[in-house]
Amino acid sequence: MNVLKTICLTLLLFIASYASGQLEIESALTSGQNQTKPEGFLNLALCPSYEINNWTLGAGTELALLNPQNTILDVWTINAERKMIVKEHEYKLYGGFFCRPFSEYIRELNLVVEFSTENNHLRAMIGNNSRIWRLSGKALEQWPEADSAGTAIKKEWRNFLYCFSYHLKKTDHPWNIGIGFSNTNGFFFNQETMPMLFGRYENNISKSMQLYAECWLQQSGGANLQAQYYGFFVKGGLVWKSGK
Amino acid sequence: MEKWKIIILLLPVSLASCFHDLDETGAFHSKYNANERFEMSQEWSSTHPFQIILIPDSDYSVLFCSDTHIGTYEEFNLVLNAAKSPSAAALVVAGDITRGHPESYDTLETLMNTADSVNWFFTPGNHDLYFGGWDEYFPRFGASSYYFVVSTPAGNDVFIILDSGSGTLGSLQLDWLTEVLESFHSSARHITIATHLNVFKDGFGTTSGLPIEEVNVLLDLCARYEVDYVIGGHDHDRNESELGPTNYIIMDQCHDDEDGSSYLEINYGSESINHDFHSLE
Repeated sequence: MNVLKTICLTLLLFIASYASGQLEIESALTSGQNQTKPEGFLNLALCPSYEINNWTLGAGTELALLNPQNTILDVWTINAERKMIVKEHEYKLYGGFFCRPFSEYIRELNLVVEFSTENNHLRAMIGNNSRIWRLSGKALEQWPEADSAGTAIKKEWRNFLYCFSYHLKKTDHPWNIGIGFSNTNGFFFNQETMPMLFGRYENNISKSMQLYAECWLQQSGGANLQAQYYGFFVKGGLVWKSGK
Repeated sequence: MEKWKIIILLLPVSLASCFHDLDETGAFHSKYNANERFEMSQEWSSTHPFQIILIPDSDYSVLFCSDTHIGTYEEFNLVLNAAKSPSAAALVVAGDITRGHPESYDTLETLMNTADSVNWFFTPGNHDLYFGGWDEYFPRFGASSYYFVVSTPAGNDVFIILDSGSGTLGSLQLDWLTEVLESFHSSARHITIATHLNVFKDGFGTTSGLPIEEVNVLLDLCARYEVDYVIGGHDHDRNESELGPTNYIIMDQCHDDEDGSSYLEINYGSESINHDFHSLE
């Protein structure tokens, strides 16, 4: 599996260097604390993508540098996005596959579909996450009957995804600041009943480079009317785009 | 425009006055968070050692129910009567036992005083914590995170009760759960975990489960230590799943005001372990 991931990433970068589209690389550091990692965590994400003819193909990985749950490879993804213009307004349709090997015994897989748009100060995304937990190869060796018994996999087909934010400046402004709520940070996907609050600052330091910083607050139990603080994280990132 | 502003302002006030059982302030703040309740539970457990139930047979059953929402208790009474059967070693009520009001707790305490022959074990749900309900729960029923052991000639079975009333197990309880599983998994015949929140969900829902990071920690522990059952409630809608060695069950409610109530009976034996739902209709 690791060989396959390396080949996919190399292939993507190879195509990107020869083709006439636009290469984009986003890297981000995320650090925070929550009830499963009270001593804190530090993750490094790297996400190359390649845009051509309104299509964007991407891949990505997030590495857990501090207190990994299982392995340093926290999650990896491949994804595709299609830009569409409807009545002179741009919409994006995104599909992604995520694999999180959070345990020696179980993997979390996410099949994500998102539909997003921006309008002046507002940014909105809705979507669905189909979450699948699957026993790992090691677990199947330990419980070989799981496959035939149908207990090797657990599916949750419907998990509503959303992200809504309001920004001080219009979308084409060189810098912007905004607040919003969402149940996903792009790498993990909570239930629809667990919104996280976030603030975001972004600055286009040049035509090809954007810096951003985000601060996220996580709560638990809000939809039960019995909520408490769950965790927080801050994320700082750099987005670089090649010239066309 | 002014009219709309007035309507918007009046709406939450009307909702608050209509729904006697909602604690709106709880959506933002819990008086005691999961770690604080866990520390109080540990302190209580230091003077109340874990219970061992001795069973002369190798086969026995334990009854589970949740979401009784006392107030009224006709259906819960039926479960209590079933728990008085000699084959039932214990009754576990997995949260939302009351509606959080002091008078609900008074009713529950009076009811349990009539059930001397039943080994009952409680853990709070979100409703039990409404209106500062922990101040009522803790002095009356003690720890919300603990374990008990059913000892049979064929081996010991461990039952771990977790508090997920405010939407999270919390870091301290997760550490404690890991320690308990580590210490028992090689010697225990069967391991069962009960808590209020459901681990999995079925379709779009309005009730919160555990945050996904905690779900993943729990799934890892259950696979690693080969937990037999994880029992929850909260959703009021039965759901049964299996992943690896573990059965994950969401129980129906056991609430007079709703249709489809039932309780769960798990039969523990030296050869096998299985479960049945018993309708209360």
